[in-house]
Amino acid sequence: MEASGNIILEVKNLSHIFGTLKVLDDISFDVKSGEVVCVLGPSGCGKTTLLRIIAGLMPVRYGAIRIGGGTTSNLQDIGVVFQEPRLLPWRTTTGNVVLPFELADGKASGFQSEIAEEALNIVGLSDFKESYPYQLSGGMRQRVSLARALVTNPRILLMDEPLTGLDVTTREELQEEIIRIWREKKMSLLWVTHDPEEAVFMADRVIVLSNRPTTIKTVLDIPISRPRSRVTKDFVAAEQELRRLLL
Amino acid sequence: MVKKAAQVVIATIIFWLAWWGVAEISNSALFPTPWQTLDSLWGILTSTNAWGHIGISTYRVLAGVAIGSAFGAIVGLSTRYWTFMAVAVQSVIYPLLQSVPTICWALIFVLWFGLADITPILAVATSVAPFFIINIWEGLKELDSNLTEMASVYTDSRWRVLGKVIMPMLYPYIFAATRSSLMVAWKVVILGEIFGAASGMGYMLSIAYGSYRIEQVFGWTLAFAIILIIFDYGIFSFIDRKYIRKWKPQET
Ligand SMILES: Nc1ncnc2c1ncn2[C@@H]1O[C@H](COP(=O)(O)OP(=O)(O)O)[C@@H](O)[C@H]1O
Ligand SMILES: [Mg+2]
Repeated sequence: MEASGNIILEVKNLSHIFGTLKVLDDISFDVKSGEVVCVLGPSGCGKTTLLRIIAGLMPVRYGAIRIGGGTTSNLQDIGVVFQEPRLLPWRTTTGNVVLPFELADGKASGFQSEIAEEALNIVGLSDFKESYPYQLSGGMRQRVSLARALVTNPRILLMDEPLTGLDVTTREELQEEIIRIWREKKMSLLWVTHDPEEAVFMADRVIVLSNRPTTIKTVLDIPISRPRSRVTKDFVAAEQELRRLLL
Repeated sequence: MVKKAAQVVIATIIFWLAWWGVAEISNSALFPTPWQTLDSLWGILTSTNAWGHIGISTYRVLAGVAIGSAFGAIVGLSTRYWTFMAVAVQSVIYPLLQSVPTICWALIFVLWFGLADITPILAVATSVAPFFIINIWEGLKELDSNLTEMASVYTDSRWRVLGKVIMPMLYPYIFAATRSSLMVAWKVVILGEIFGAASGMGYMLSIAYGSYRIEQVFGWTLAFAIILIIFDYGIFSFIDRKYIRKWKPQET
């Protein structure tokens, strides 16, 4: 129902080598408009490297990346949520969320400040606008980071294990909320994780990576209707299947 | 807090009594008592030209620190963008500034510029520049590259990343450099004025010294100490407690 067919992100024959360490070996996949694609792989297989290349934070050495139909990543087209919240400790919640505008345009306009306020409402932080990062819990900090990624209204959000390190309750709560936001915003998600349960909960499609040198082992569709319950037979079966593929 | 304040008072009284005791025992014209010194300090502060000299010394301190910090900051920051500068700073600029005694700079500047304002100002600038170079260097080493990477998602402009992310991260380091600089700057300016100027607190000290007016020397010294304490404990620890500690990255 989500996928309308437009390809937002296309990764073609991507390889990457650090010195003599081959981390990505001929990776190809694409993400369609409105789709949630999870990249599931063991620790150290190159998931972060893949995301950094897609985000334009590292050069493409072999292969090609196309975002929104073009070869260069337009800054407005992507948002990134890292594993750590990466907030500026000297700025308040609001100050952190308007940062993308300040970096892109020098300063944030009144209209952009309103967008930031709205993003904070969406992630449920309207009562913490003037708080500093050290006054927030880990889950709240990651919400700020999510709001910061949302303000530019990206067509695709790249998420690098954003919930790793949070406790189970917070993690599940945020998974559900991010799905809610994704449905509202009608954007695409490329979600990196090493957790099969998370992949089944989030994804329309799961790309399973092998150990280094990393190739795509399988692509698994998750045709479970949303909202998803973690205890249904289909859910557990898909999770088992992913666990088996990871071994 | 109360306990600490009481201790400060007690320590001050003990210092004062010890000074008084030694002065009385030595009973020498070369060792004024605290009361004679205070008397002389009062005389200095109420004389019409004393504040002019204090003012001109303050101006030279601030001008010297401004020039030294600008130079040090530019050199320090350049190491991040230009590897040649990183090598030059490590192997030439920093060692040179750090190892040449201030008095040598002061002598050179007197020869070049004579008894002019610029002499003590440049002496201050050269002696404080290394504080800024080394602190910014340290700050850049500690720089959280996660934050600069995050910033580069949103801009291609290095200037914006510098202004919005890197400089704010360096503020605590720049603050520390400014604080140590000012302590040193005051000492250097007095030295520079003793033989490189015809005005300022150092010049007045040298006049008192030249005419053997020992209680004047003590008086100016005390005035100097008070100014330094006000600068450092008054202004800087206040700023430190109120702003800088909050600024330091807790866990991000
Ligand atoms: N900048 C780098 N230079 C050299 N090796 C790197 C660099 N970044 C990552 N690696 C190595 O590449 C491999 C994959 O890293 P990464 O992409 O972080 O994996 P993952 O996110 O899947 O855990 C690891 O072995 C890591 O040590
Ligand atoms: Mg990773």
